[in-house]
Amino acid sequence: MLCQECKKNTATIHYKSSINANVTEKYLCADCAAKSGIGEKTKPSDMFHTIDVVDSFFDNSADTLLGGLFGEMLGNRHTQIPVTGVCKECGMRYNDFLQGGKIGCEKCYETFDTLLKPTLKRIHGNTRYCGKTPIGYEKKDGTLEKLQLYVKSLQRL
Amino acid sequence: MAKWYDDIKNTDDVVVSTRVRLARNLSNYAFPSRMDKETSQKAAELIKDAITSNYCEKLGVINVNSGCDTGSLVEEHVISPDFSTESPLFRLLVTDEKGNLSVMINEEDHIRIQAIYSGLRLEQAFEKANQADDAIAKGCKIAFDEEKGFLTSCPTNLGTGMRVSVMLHLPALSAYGYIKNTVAMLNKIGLTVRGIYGEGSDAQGNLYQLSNEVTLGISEQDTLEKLKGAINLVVEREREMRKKMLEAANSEQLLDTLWRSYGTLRYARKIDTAESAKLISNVRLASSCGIIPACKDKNLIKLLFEIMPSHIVSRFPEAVTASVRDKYRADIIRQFLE
Repeated sequence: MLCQECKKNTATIHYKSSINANVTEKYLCADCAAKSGIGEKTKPSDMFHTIDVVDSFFDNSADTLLGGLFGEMLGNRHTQIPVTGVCKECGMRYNDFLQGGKIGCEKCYETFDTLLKPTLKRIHGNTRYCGKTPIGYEKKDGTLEKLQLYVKSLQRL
Repeated sequence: MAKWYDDIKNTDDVVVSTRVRLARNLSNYAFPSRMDKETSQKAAELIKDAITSNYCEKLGVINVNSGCDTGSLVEEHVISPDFSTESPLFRLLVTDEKGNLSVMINEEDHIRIQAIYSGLRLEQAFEKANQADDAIAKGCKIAFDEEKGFLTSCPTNLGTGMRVSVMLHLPALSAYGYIKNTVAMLNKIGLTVRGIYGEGSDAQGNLYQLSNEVTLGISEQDTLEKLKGAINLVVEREREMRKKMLEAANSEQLLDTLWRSYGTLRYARKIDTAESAKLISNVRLASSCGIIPACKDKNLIKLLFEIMPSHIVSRFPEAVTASVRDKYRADIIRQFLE
C-alpha cells in the first residue's frame, strides 16, 4: 500500500487517532509520519510493519500504570500500539508492554527500538550506556561482518 | 543467627544502612513476565550453579516456592516484597550467612543481586554486589547491549541495572515538615525518596530510602559519587535540625515527648507496629543526641525489625491475630529495653 500523503513510498505506519469518538485513520510512510509529527521518525523494519496510533485513557491500576506512562510519553495523549509488530523471539506485542510495563525478552529492545528510544531518553536523559561490561562479553568490533565479506569475495573468484 | 543489621550503631545516627541492587537477565531466555515454570526452573538452576560455584564465599540456597517464611526476610530487607508473593515461576534465593548478599532468582528480572550493609558503606556494598555479578557472568551469558547496557524487564532499570538505596533516619526534618522540600530538591537531581519498604510504602519510624533514578548514561562509579554528595547534604541538614530542635525555646516540650516515648515503650502491655515505630524513632533520636543514656548502646533498628508482624509470628506461631501480636510486641520491647 502506498503512503496516503506522498503517494510514492510504501506505507509502513498505520495511524489511528480516536479523540472524543472522532476517529482519524491514515496509512503513511516513515518520512511523512515524521513530518506530521506522529511519534519519532520510524524506519521500516521486517519485524515491525505497522503502528497503530490510538488515543488512550489508561486506568491507573498498578499493572498498567508504567505501561500507561510509556504510552503517555510517546507523543502527547497519543499512544502508539503496533498491531502486527510482534517480537519474533518471545511473541510480545508493544500493546502487551503498554498494558503490563514489562519487556518480554532481550530481542524486544531491538524490535521496538524506535518506540522505546524517545521514552528512554525522557527517563534517563542520556541514552548511551557507559557502565561496566559483563565478564565474557565479546565486543561487536565488526569482525564477523568483515569475515562474511571476505568469504563472499572469495566465492566470487 | 547473625544478621546484617546486628552491627547498626546509634552513631549511624542518620544513615542506617546502604544497599546496592543489580538487575540482570540471561541471554537467550524470555524475561520472567513471559516465562513458563519449566523454563524458569532451568534458568534458576543455571544461575544458582554459576553463583554458588564461582562466588568467593559459601552461600545457602532457599527454594522460595516451598512455603518457607519469607515475610521476615522482607521485613529485614533481604528480599523484595514482590519476591515474597505467590508466583507461577520457580524461584530461588541465594544468600550468605548474614544476609549481606542475596540473589533473588526469577523476580522481576532473572537475577536481582543485592548487597546490604549497616551505616554508610557505598563502596563496600557495590563491591560485594559486583563480585556476585562477575561470579554469575562467569557461568551464564548475560543479556547485554553495548549501547543500552544490561537489558532489564523494566526499561526504568535499563543500563547499569543498578539501584543504590540508603536508609535514612530523618526525625528532625520530618518534625519540622521539611521532608517534602528535601524530596523535591533530590528529585531535581535525579534521585528519589521512598518509604521504608520501597515504592508506595510509609516512612515508618521516620525511615526513608534515598535512591538513584537514572541508570542509563551514567556509570556505576558516577552514580555512587552523586549519591554520596546528596547523602552528605541530607545528613548535614538533619543534624542541623536536630541541633536546632534541642536549642529551641520549647525544648522542654521536646524532651518531654522523647522521655514519654521511652516511658511508653518501657511499660506498655500492648502496642501496635505503627505506634512502636514512631516511639522507637523518638528514642533513637534522643539516644543519638545524648538524651536517655540507658539506650546509648541499644541497636534500636534491630528492635524495629524484631517487632514487625512476620518476625513476631516466626517467634510466637500462636500470635495469629493483631491483638495477640500487640501483646507479644510490648513484651519484646520491654525485655529489649530492660
